[in-house]
Amino acid sequence: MKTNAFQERRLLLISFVWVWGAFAIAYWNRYYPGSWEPAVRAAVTHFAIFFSLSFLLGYTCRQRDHLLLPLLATLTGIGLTMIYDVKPAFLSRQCQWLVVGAAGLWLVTGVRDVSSLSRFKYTWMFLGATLLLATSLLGKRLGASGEITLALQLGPVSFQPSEFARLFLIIFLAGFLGEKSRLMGFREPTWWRIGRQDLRYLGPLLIMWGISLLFLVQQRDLGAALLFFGIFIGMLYMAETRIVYLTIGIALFMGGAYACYRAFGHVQTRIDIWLNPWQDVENKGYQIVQSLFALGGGGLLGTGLGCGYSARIPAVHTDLIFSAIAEELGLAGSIAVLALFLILVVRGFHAALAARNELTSLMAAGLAFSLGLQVCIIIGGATKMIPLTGITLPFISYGGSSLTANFILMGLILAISSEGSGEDPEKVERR
Amino acid sequence: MKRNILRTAHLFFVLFPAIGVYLAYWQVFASEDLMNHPRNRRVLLNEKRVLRGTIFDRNAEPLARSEFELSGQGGTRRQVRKLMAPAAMSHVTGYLSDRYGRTGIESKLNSHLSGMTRLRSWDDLRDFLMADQRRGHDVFLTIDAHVQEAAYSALEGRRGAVVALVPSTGEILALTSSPGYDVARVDTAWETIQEDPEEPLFNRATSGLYPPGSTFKVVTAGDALEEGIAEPKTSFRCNGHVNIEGYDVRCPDGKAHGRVDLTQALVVSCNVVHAQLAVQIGKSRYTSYARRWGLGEDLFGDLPSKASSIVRSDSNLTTTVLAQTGFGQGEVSVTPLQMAVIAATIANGGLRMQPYIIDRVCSYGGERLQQTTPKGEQQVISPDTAGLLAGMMEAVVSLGSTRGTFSSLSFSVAGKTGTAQNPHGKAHAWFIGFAPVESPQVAVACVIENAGAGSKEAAPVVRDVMAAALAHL
Repeated sequence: MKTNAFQERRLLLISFVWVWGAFAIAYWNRYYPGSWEPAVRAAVTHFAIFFSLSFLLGYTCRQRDHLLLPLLATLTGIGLTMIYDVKPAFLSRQCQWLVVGAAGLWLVTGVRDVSSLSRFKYTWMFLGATLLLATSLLGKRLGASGEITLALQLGPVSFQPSEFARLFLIIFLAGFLGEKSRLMGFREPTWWRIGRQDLRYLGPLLIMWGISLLFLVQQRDLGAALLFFGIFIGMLYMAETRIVYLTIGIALFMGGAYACYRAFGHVQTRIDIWLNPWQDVENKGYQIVQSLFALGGGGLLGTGLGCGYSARIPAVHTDLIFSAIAEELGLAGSIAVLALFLILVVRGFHAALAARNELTSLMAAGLAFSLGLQVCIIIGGATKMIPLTGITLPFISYGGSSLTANFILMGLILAISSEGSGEDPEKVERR
Repeated sequence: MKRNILRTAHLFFVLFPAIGVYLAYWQVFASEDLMNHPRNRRVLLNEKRVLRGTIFDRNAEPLARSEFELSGQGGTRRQVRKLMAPAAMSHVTGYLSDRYGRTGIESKLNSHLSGMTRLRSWDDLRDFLMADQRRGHDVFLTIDAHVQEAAYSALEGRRGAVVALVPSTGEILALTSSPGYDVARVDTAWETIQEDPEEPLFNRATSGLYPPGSTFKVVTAGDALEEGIAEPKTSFRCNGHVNIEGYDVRCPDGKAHGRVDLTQALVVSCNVVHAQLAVQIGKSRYTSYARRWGLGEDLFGDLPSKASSIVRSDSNLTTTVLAQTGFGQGEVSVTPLQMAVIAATIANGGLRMQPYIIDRVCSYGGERLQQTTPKGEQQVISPDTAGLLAGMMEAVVSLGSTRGTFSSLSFSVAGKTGTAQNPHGKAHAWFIGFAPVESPQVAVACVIENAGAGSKEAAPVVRDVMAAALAHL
């Protein structure tokens, strides 16, 4: 296994070289006679964190998938350079969050048996619901100019609970569905019939689902709502529950989406903008049109780091950071980032398939699925494939909650990948 | 369970490439349309990144030059246009504004100055590969900054224009319209500049149309000489007025000049003689000569300009109007540039040259990308006729009312005054001329609106311009 750790560090080195070069180019092109300190500080932080993680993970998950950390380092590095490029004021903050996230990742990998998390599944459910409820009640009051905010203020830190609620939801679902799915197969009289047993089973699911969606829609966090819906349906499918549950889920999704469209003006506006942003380029369609301009400005090879004009797009450092990447690195760069994400997601699923028990398998699959879905929702939004909603691009967007939550997510996948390989005697024999 | 997980994983092998297709569409196939969208400022912003080229005068003095300046605490670089003589050059260089567009050479040669032209020099290519600062191309004008400034200051802010040409080539040494405006203040003082009743934004030199008054008599006299209707010594009789088809042509104050030859008629600026000559030449010949002198066509390709004409577009040339045209009244309206071209044509042996202001465009490394060569447009009158006419114009200056004005110059001058009646108040003061008579090096036309007598107001301006242009003599 020593060779694997060596390979990991070699890949990390490639990632570091890329990040250093990117910082240097962005500095040269955009800030040249100015101070280079912020760039160096960020690059050093990035290097220190991932280099030490590579060693520290040796204590907690030796058998991990050694591709994951270099992928993570590259994506995070791209994120830091882009934040430096478009919103340099946020760079040192993001570095601090990176430390927090890395610490969270390492702590999570320290959990001895990941499936033991499922023992407290109702606690996770309760925590997730509480977080969303708290945002609805408190976030509203704290919002400036009476607007509904997605964030909770905790002392000096603003904190976005839906990012963590999503993790809790996945752990809960993995525990709940993974445990019951074994019972499903042989109690299936007719696929569409629902008995009392089913209601007891469906009950907590539907309640959890209803609560989260209600809050998210009320908070106008449509991106997160879409993500939660997706995770529910995806995990129901992957757990191989009764088809009727899946049917109910999809029906509810369709019904809910249609009801939202009819009931809420802002949902209709989103859809209308998506269908034709060119009608109101200066106001409603501004953000998506600016995103498309950025994509078009990039062309095949991009303008070069530090030479784009994306800094003026609203929320470029959070929701639309991908557009900035696409402008400065071109189609080549945007496809490369997409490919990095795809590899990361696929390695997540790989960990799920290799996992020793159904609970961790379902959990890893759910985590990888949520990661992939989030990437699709936000990049799909930035390219006008689907309506643009405000969620972050994992590891790249600015935002403490997003970064920390996604690092913890990676921690779980790392831990599961480590458990799944090597130590299982059955598996060793099969090889 | 694992089967469905595997299937779900495969979902992403469909979703991600689908996003990739969308990306390819926007980034490559729709890229050009997106860049050209009117609300996309990227093309404009790209322009600002290229250091704009310099506009030089004929002596390589920079008239407008861009520099990067650091501004704000973030230290962002901003381009600033440095101007040598913002007001005197305002109608040559023009202004450059994000809000109000651009005019003059800044507009005409924007693609070169901004470096956004498809014609890329080797310097551009090297900068692109080396990621060096890109620079726009430099423009060299035919303008002589000293002559231009002499003209502008001689006008003393009065409404008017001066055009100075090199007769043998058509190079424009000065193209001055007064009052000018401070090009650097266009963004900050737009309202003031635009609403100024003196209309400083209006380029009088190329687009101002005025009755030429007596300066047009050189055209009538030239046509008559060329047609053999008269010679310089041909004798005429002036009674102070003459009746032409019921219209009474009068000399100023009804003064009778008595028996005069053609030269004397030009020197004393006799309306009666020139009206009669025009009628004798006849409508069709006079019209075709006018066309040869350049009236009725846009003379100038480098900056926006108006065509001069002898009749209003909605009327026909009647004999009475023709008679008035003979001494520069009636319906004839000309630009100062047109009158300078007429003076230059006489100075150049009757060969009318195309006036031009853009000499060449070079990359900043000196590679020549565009070069104007002098172009002869038309032999208007024969060299002999031109010589006779020049002699007559020399007599105007040495014997006429302006003899005192030009006496201080070390070289001989040929010219003609004009005092053009117009419906807008006092007469417009005109003077056209060239110098030195033996080998003309500069031809000048000057008009000052509502200033009165050409000999008193316009001639001194022309004298100053000639002195500046021929300072080396």
